[in-house]
Amino acid sequence: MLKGLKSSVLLLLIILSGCSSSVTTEKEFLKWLGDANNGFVKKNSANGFLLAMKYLPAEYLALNEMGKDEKTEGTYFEEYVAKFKNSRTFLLTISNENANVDASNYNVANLREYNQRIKDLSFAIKKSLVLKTSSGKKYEPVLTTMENLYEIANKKAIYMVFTDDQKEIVNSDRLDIVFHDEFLDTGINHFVFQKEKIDNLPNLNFN
Amino acid sequence: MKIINTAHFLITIVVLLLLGYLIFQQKQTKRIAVVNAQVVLEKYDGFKEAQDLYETETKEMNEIFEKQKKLYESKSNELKIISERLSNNERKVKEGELEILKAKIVQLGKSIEEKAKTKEEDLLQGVYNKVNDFVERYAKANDLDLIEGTTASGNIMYASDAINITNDIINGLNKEYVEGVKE
Repeated sequence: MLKGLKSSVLLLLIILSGCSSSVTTEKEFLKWLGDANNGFVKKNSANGFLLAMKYLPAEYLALNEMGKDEKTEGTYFEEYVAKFKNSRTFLLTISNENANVDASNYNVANLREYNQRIKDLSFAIKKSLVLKTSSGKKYEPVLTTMENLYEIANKKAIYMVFTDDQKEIVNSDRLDIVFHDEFLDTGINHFVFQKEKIDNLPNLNFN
Repeated sequence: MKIINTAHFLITIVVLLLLGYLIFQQKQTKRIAVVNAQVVLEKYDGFKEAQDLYETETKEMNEIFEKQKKLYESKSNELKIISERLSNNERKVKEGELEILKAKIVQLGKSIEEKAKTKEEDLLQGVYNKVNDFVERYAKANDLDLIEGTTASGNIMYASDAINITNDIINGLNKEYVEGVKE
């Protein structure tokens, strides 16, 4: 009888471990995305700077957009997700170990250079970023934009979107985002994401 | 019985003192390692990629220069051929144009040289910063007090394999170059 009970417990454990995890709140979802073990965040560091590249899945972008549009009903969710499914969006966050240094003031001597740096980080950075797929094809982002919300925390956040008509980007097994840094002396930075990881979201059961 | 207790007490004191001395010695001993900086650079994927990028970009710049140089040579040859058929004035005008073109090419050459030098410095700086960042984290993680970099013309004449961490540094750097920094 004890043997039978042991087998049942074992079977239950196997079934439970086979199920994908589930998150019930947006807060939990964000925490899950930030966990390095889940493969959505890749980091590089040099010259006192920490560069963190985070993949933002369509589901996250949909929730964000729904919040902005004040549409809280779950029925809209799939509709919003579909809008973002054909592209890959990433967020590059740049911070420095020195509280007085950030991407906008590093190696900047005057206001003119500061304005130029802001322009570079918002627009010219597009030319310093490239996404390489498994087949070796290279794509520049179709959109980059800097979010300057973290002035106090000396952080700069840059959003980038990659897409193509042939859907090579969304179907590629490996996505290598290369940042040829021309501003912060951190050199060439690779952020390699695996499709099997970033397409494997937990079950989202938001109420 | 009393003698035995005293002996136990003395032995305990001696053991404690010995342990304290060993711990003190351990703390006093600085942990040192050496790295062959040249080998690290040669085998670091980040350096190889920076080198490839430099070569691609300077090749493009050199091609532009070579095009202009060929244009000058062809115009110079053309002038030699038609020179006899030109009047003095016409020849002087053509020679003047050729001189201007030559000056522009010299200027282009200098500008390319400067750009290539800046590019090389920028790329190397990025590589050095990455290596330094990794070495610092490696030292902290492995409780090292000092890491010496050896070079062919350096001051370190010998270091035993036991403290040579060159391969560890190369493997760690290359792993991190692809996988990123682990927390």
